[in-house]
Amino acid sequence: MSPAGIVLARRPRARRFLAGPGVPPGVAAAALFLGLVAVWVVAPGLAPHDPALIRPGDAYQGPSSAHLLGTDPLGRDVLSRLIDGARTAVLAPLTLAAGTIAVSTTLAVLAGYLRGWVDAVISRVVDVLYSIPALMVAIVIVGVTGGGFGLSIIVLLVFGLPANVRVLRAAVMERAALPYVEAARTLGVSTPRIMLTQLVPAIGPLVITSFFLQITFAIVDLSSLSFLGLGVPPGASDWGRMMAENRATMSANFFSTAAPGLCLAAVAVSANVLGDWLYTRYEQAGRSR
Amino acid sequence: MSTTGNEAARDTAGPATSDRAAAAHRRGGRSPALRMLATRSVGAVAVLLAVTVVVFLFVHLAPGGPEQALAGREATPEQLAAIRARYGLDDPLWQQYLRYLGALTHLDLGTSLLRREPVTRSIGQAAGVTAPLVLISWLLAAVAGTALGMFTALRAGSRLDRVVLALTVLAASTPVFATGLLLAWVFGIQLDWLPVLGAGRDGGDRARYLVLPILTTTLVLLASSTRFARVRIGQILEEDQVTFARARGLSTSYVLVRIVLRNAAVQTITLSGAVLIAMLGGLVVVEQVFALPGLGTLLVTAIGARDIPVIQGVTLVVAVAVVVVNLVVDLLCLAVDPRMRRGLEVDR
Amino acid sequence: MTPTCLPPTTPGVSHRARRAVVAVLTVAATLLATACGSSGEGTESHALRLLVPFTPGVWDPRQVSAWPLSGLLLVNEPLTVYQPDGTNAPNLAEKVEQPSPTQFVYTLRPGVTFSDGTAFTAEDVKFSFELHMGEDAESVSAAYWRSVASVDVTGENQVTVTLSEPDAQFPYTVSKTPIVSKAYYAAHGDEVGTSTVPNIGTGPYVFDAFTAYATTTLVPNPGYWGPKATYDSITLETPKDDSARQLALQSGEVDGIYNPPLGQLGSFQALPGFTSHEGPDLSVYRIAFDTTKAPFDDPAVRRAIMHAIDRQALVDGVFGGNAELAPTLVPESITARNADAAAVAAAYQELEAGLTHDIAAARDALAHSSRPDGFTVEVPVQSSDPNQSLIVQTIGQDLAEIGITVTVTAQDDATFLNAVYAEHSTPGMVVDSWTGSSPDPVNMPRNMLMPGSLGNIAQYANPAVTDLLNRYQSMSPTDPERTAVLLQALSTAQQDVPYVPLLFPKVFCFVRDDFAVTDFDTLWWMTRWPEHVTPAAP
Repeated sequence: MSPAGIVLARRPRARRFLAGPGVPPGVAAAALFLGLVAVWVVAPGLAPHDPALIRPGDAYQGPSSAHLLGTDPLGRDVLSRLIDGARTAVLAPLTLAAGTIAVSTTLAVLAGYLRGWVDAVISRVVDVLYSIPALMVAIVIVGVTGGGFGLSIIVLLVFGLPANVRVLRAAVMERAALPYVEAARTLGVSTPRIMLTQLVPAIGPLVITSFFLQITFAIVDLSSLSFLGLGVPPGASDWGRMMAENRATMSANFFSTAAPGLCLAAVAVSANVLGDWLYTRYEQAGRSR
Repeated sequence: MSTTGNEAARDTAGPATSDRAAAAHRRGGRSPALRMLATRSVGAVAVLLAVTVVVFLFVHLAPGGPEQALAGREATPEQLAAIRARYGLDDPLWQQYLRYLGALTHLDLGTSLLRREPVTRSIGQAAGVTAPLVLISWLLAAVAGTALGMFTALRAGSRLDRVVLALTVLAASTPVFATGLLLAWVFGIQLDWLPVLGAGRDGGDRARYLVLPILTTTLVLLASSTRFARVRIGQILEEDQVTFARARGLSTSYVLVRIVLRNAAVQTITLSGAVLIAMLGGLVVVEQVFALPGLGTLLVTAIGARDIPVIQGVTLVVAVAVVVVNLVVDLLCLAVDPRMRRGLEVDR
Repeated sequence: MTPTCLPPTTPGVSHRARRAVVAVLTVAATLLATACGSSGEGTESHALRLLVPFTPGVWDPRQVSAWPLSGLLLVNEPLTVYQPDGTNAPNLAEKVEQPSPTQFVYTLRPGVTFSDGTAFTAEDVKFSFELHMGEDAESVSAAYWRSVASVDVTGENQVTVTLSEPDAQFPYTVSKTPIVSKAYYAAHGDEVGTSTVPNIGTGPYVFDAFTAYATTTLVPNPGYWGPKATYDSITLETPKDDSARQLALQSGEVDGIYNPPLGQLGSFQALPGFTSHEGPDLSVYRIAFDTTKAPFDDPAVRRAIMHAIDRQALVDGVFGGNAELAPTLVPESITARNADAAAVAAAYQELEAGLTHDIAAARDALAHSSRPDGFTVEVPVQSSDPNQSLIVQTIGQDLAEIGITVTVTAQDDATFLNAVYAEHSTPGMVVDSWTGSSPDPVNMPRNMLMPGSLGNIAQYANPAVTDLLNRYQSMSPTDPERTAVLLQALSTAQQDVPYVPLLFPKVFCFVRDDFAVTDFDTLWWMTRWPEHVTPAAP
């Protein structure tokens, strides 16, 4: 009987979502879409036209056989820009997510295993950062300094650390108490070795699922910054930038705004679905509660 | 607005203060609650001070200044210099900072360079728009989210559960400005039920203008609060205490309210605090879409015009609000969970 | 926020019921709010609600210029009112005399009161003028008062203004200077013009409500000395954002929009129930070189760039035809007013002939310059003007053909204004749009070509041109030779190519079909414009 069934004295349900052995169709679709985007990132040459070619005479056209998704205000082909933009639209959140996870994991392992003053300092700093609204800080800093994309990524990275560090630190502390780590210490294995070879792989699955979830947040935050005009330089074929620039002309060519928006949402959703599925797998495999 | 329920549910790390509180208790010191409050207060003042310094530095080191907006494009270089001198903008930074701190001790936030009114008045007027928006959305999202989460947790694996899950993922992944535009389009134009622009006058009129922004913000927040409630309640339902309670013959409502909700309370409160803080960033975007003259718009306009007193005032007020929210969250958790009152390590 | 803080449930009430109650309450609240009234219903028949591009932070004459004066001049009316035909009609000043080229005598209308009942006197005029005068005057219009030596009260209802040098623009300056109450300013100081201390004037309207940078409402002044105000209320709103603008027009919440951004024209033109009016705008988009910075200090480089770009493509593409090619820095219709139109047309054609799109000539010029192999330049654009970015990207593609690489960076307003106009710290090439704020044709050239002016981004200093412009200032407006002097100054400057004039955008207004609009042009804000927007017969 399922726990819920115990409470409500119900008959058990036939099949639990995510409980079966196969890959659910939603997750398969997500993986497929992410695969497509990966292809675009690696091979932007797939674009039918030059994404940067400005032809003022062709501006604001709707979809046609020559331009499958129409053209933007400067006459550039929307589909080509969509493919070309995959690189920055996806790589930026990926970099941000990877950076956040890498730094979080390092800090978490140090805090969770070494304890003592290292843990105290890291936890204190994390607590302080946790309580500051990330996006607002990004707006103030990037807006005032006029700083570019790099600065916004750094700011969002710093403020994305707290939540991840907390979760990973708890997992590290759990693992560090296990007998085999104790045994390694007794055998004289050096601390850095223990951290690298025992602890990091132990929390590996958790790191990977956090990474996927972090991609979603990165996409949403970066696109909000783009909406406010703080992001990639004008003219770059970045999905967020395309949405912001083409918003005024939605009546002329709806796809110039809708297409990049849908792609952004689709990548975010796919990453989220994939991350959730991986997490549930991990949870079912290893939880010892 | 970038927390989802799943992540916070896995957030099982206790803050360092809990450890310290436990240590203090074992040493036979004062109540851990008071000690925690004291630590928090000192920390809060330190954070606020740090915020003022950081914002001060950024604003003064940024290129340009208020003199461009005040003098216009047809000014002479002498005029620009005269304006800078009048507001002491060319004095050494530490002098300007001390002046600012001195004014703060009198609770004087200064006068807006471009609006000519006391900063407290500008902030007050803007807060009259933002505060209802924030509080009502947050409350609605929290209540509806917990209810929806519990509803789907009890029907785990059903079609409804999957649909709600999919919707929450979609809502969490859609940028808030897209949601806002869609709602404005549907309700403001197609159905013509609600106004889409501005904040109206006070009272009943203001309420009409805030319906769409509140709806937008609530929908986005609902994603994370539902998700979190769903996961956390699902976890609790799996615990032995629920099975035992049921086995002892306790009623469904007793189990749900006294056991499930109570156990979910601490993490729910913590998450709510975090969500409220994360909301503040997304507010700027919502205010932009609906042309609301709230705190977010105030800040963005001030940044663009380099209205230094307003920038410093708004960021300080936001920092204070954040500190207060954290404090309230900690106090509520203490009130709800007796284990925390005794300084034991608790999953937060 | 724990649900245990809610009132305790009675035993036996299931959780499902409680959830249902919450849902019902939410829906009820929403419905209640909508039942309180729907938007878009017909308002009283004499209200006018418009979208305008900018609402100031404070309604003080020192901080308001150009379009926002459309609101302030209705409350704080000027001594003379600018008319659509270019003349300045008497208003608060019954009579205007000019005994000498540097003296103006204003005889004021007797018996006028401010909206708070106090009397309007010559002292108020002197005070209102002196707000903008002086080396350190904190006024955006201070530049227009630099030629004024003194303002004196020379009789019970008489004010005399003495200029230090003749100024062709002065009569227009008076038409756009709001008259305020000296006593009111003495009582309230710097707070005048905020939402709690509204500015008061003698005009047909008074301020009723105001939110800085957002919205302003005007209602009629019951004690006005002149004809009754056309509208029972005028609301001017500034939306933040393209979609907000669109939504406001579509939902019927506003009656029209003045000076919409050109990029959104297509969406507005598609709206049913609106009529558009247009006219040439008193503004020019130009490429500005900093002639003191390499490689732009080399005239051959500037000429190469000038020949390489296709200005017509900008007009057709970026502006969708809603602009005209700019042969020089001021529109032809402005220069030709009160002048020999044929001569002006001929001169403009000659200027345009010098701005050919000729890649071969461009390559040739670059080859003989200091940078025959081309170079890279970073061009900043203002994030608040999307047209700048589109223009720079388009000409960037043109310049790539001759070996010049352009990279674009977006900057916020304050950073851009500081770097371009105040500190001249850009790499040396920008695209900006300069707007004139006075009807006299010399207004824009003076700002862009005279040394020491902020609009002179090029830091251009040519004594011949400076001389010609000063000579123009000293000539009487009725002197037929005056225009020729201006044209000569313009063409002399153009030889050096400190700027490449690109285009003059058009200015538009969209108003609902149940209003009739007359006399709409770029200086609508200086006129008594509510009289030109009238509800059509029902």
